[in-house]
Amino acid sequence: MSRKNERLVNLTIALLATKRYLTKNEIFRNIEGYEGSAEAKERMFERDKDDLRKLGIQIEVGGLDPLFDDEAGYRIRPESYALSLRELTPTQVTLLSLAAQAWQDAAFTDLSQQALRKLTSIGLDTDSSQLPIMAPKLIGADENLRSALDALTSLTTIEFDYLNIQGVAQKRQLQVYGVQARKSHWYLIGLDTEKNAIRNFRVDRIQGVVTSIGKAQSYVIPPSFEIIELEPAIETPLAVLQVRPGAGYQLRRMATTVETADDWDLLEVPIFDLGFVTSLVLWHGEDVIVSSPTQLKSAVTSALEKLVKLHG
Amino acid sequence: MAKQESGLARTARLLDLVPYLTTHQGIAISELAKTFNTTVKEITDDLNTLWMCGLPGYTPLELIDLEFESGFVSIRNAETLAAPRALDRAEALSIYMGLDLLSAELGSANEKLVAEITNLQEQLRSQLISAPQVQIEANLNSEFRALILRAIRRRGWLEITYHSAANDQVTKRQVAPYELSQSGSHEYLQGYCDSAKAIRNFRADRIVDVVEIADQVWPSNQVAANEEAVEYEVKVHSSSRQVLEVLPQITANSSTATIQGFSAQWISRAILSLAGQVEAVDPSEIRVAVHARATAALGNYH
Repeated sequence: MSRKNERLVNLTIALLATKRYLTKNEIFRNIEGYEGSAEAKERMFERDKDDLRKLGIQIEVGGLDPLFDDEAGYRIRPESYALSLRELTPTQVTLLSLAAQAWQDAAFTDLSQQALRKLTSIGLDTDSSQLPIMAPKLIGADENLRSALDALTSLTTIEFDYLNIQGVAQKRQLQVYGVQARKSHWYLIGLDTEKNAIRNFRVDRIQGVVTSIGKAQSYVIPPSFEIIELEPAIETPLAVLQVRPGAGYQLRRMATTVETADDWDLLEVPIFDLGFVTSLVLWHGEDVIVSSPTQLKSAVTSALEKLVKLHG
Repeated sequence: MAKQESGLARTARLLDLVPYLTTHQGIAISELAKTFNTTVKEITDDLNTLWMCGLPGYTPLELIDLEFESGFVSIRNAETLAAPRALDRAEALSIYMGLDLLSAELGSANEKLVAEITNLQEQLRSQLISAPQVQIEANLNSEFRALILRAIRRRGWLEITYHSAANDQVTKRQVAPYELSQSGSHEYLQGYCDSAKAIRNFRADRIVDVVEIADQVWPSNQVAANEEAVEYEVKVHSSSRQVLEVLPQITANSSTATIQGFSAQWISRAILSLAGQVEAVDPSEIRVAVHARATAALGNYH
């Protein structure tokens, strides 16, 4: 094993140092570790190339001279091999290390540590004097989050059982385009391949484990794809609510307008999801009255009638 | 996935050791092992392997020159590998996401730093083919986080303005913070609450304001016990996803369940919000409270 590692390191060094393409014969002749029959060397070299590519090292293939039917040659361009975040300031290095540390004990902890080692290899001092003391933390050690992030990295389609609104698990297939952390939950956003539409899935609603199906690099993320921000648009319907002064803190935070009065304050709250607003109004009991729309009003009153009947 | 390629992981470590050593000349082997999250033996093996590597020719002129007999490592003649390797896609994504959180926590109050972060994110994005979309929201802004961490470190007291969802009230409490921790998908501040005279957990995303206050006596270890959980019996009429998420003790297909809660207020509000999918059975106080609140709310419409 150590011989093979040695050969891989030597191959990397030689291909990085060369100014021109090296032919296979030059490689076999000069780089230590290629032994045995011509065929054995050939097989060894093919595997080595694969291994280096798996490590993210790009080996460029090129002819020696286009005018002659020459043997192909190989090299690694230093600019593709090396970290290209250039001229980082000490503050930037600090920001990058804080970003890496945010994953401590969470899904990507090993990868962010590797990244951090590469960044500290630049050899720049960090400067935290300008930064507030902070240690931001990404919450989420969920094994399924890790699987989904791996799939997003390798562009592999995934499959999982997802709890639908009725509380029943259904099989879904997804090409992950992005991730979102919102209101303390992780969401996967991407193409639901069966519905052929963009959908989002809350990670903790996945039942069992995420499995990958098919090969890596099996899709591309459309460059035009963007996660839509949940901000009230003109067409978002508004609920008009009467709220008792001092009550309804969460509703007030969501409200686009608040008019204060003596008995009841008047709030306008965007309705992204009727079910969610209905539950939230119910949570506040007699402290909130729905003025409009009728749909919300009747959802709330019929729920209240049901509750009264059940508990009477 | 990474496990099966342990041989390759070793190659990666050999390649990454060179730039790290180049900028950390004289580092102790033990420290190096710690940084690379491995054992001293493994790192020593790595150094012995690297020592045999170099440019074709492989005479002392071409080989990497390593000195580590003393227990401290120095490296020379390794210019070809001296630049740190590019971040791979997964590493770049992990940093990109961390930066997103950082920027969200810093918020608009730190325009300059947020601009620096955006700049770094753009550089990272430009290196990713088929770049993923990322959007991360902060649970706690960086200013509050800094005050809390500082208070934990120096055992200081804080005045915390907190929104309690159970009471629907925003109150100020004096708190001696012990730690910031995670449980489930939420982050919590745990500390001794002077108004409750007990240890309390505060959900980070419900903290409205944090102010440092003059030091008081740090609570002794024999503080009052935690709140005691009370049990409630409920009847389940529909085990929808919402029901399973609001009351996780309920499992699909169960018709009754026992819920543990810390506050009667919370449980009756939770049952109200579930719109009749779940019925309070026992203790009867909860049943009566749900009935009274629903009746009062309905009365508002007549």
